[in-house]
Amino acid sequence: MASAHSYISFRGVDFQYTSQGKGPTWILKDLNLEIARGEFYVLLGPSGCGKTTALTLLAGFEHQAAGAISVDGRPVTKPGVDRVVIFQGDDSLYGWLTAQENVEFGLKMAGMPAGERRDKALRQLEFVGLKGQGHKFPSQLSGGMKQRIQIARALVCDSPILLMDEPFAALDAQTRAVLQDELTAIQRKIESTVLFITHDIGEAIILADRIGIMRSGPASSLKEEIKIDLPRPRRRGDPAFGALYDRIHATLSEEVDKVMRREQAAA
Amino acid sequence: MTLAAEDRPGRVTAVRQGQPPSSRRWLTQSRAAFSLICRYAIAAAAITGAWYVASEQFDSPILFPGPLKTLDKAIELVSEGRLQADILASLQRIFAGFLIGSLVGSVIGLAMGSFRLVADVLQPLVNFVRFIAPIAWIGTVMVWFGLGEISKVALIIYATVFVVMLSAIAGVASVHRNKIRAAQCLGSTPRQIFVWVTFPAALSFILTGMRMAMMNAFMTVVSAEMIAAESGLGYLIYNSRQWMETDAIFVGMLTLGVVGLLTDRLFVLLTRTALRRFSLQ
Repeated sequence: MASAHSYISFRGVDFQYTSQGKGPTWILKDLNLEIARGEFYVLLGPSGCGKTTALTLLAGFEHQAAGAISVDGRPVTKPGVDRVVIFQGDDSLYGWLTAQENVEFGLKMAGMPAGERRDKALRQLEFVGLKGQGHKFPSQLSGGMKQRIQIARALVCDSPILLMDEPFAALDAQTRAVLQDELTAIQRKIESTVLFITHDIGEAIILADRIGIMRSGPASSLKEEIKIDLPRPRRRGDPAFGALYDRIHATLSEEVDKVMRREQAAA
Repeated sequence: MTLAAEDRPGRVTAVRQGQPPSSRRWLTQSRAAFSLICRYAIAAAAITGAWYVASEQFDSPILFPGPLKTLDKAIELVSEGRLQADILASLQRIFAGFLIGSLVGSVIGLAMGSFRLVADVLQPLVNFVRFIAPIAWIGTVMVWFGLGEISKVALIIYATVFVVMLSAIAGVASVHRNKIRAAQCLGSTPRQIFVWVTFPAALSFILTGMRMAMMNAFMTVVSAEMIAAESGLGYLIYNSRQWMETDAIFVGMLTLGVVGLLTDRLFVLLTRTALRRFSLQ
């Protein structure tokens, strides 16, 4: 199976939650996924389908019940600086630290001297469009700026893989569009591999090299993969964009219908 | 990459932004302060007035000394140097007990919040003992620690330790999972996560707990000074009882209230300035 697509690999991954009184629920069943080095891979699926779970497993926060997850041939066992996560919302930022201190966090943990750390953080803040904002606390910044801090905090560690868990989902539409464009630009400059989770079809098409569409949960797995060849920067008004959107929307609708039918049957 | 249109500042809670206050802002601020002082003064006058009227209903000032009689007594106690000495003695006990209690409470609470084993072992004991009032321990404390300062401070430690402990446990529980996870994928060791994430994130809870513990310490100093004390506001209150010096009792009570209030304000001021960043979310 060692193909060109095997920098990150999920093979036969199962994951289950055991909730009290309900017994085990399978979230993922036989998830297979191969991501190439430098690829921007978007996992798209209806809510509750287990796409965030897949990211959580790759990050090493939780462990699969069966199957194997590896990065560059090495199995994932615990969280690491090679796979920095950018979370949805701002709960992961440290409210008692300034934007700059937040960005310095990983460097500080690695024991980098204060001066060097500061220079790197300032450069990184400028890179994500937060020049001159470093002294502010997260609570003084807008939602979009807070997500930029998270991105800077991950990039400053030179992590080869970025795991992005619906990072723009809580933002307003305009801010989201701006950050999507900027992320595209950033990713082309730094050439890291990205696993990006979203339920927004438009966002997936704007960003992805490849989109993996997941089945509705429980016991979800990959339903279909679509390569996106549109030139960048991509525009939503583009007819090719519209065609892709319709195609993905049809696939996704089948899954959403399944969920609704199941819920109606249960009610 | 440029600053985009979306970069409107969010909820700005800046006090520390270092912009010199314009004369207009200064005027608004001083006007607000003046109005606050006026309201305080009116409230104090109303309460004193009610106190005066109520005390007049009694035949003897011994039963209910009025504000003037209490003031006379306060002046007398101050001129003898006794009130100052009592305040100092009580404050020393309160601070010693409060600081030790807060320290021990934070350490145990953080450990209970962080380690399941510690919580399982200590939780039943803590949940049981914390319902026993400090005053119930007086006899035992005297037998164990004698009649000196140690007994009094021990009682105040007891009165503060559980509040701080419980708030530290709540503080650890309140740390958002993503803060821990972010630290993990930024390469932190468990020890670093505790020092740089869990502790600072829990600190605002601990400080709130300490503020409540301070109140407990002031309340308990009266009980503590029932143990063979020769000074202190509790001693003043308790000892004056024997001579029916109700005016001195009132002076002791009022002083406790005032000193407590000032200490609380000082604590709040300190946490809002030096430790301000830890109350940011």
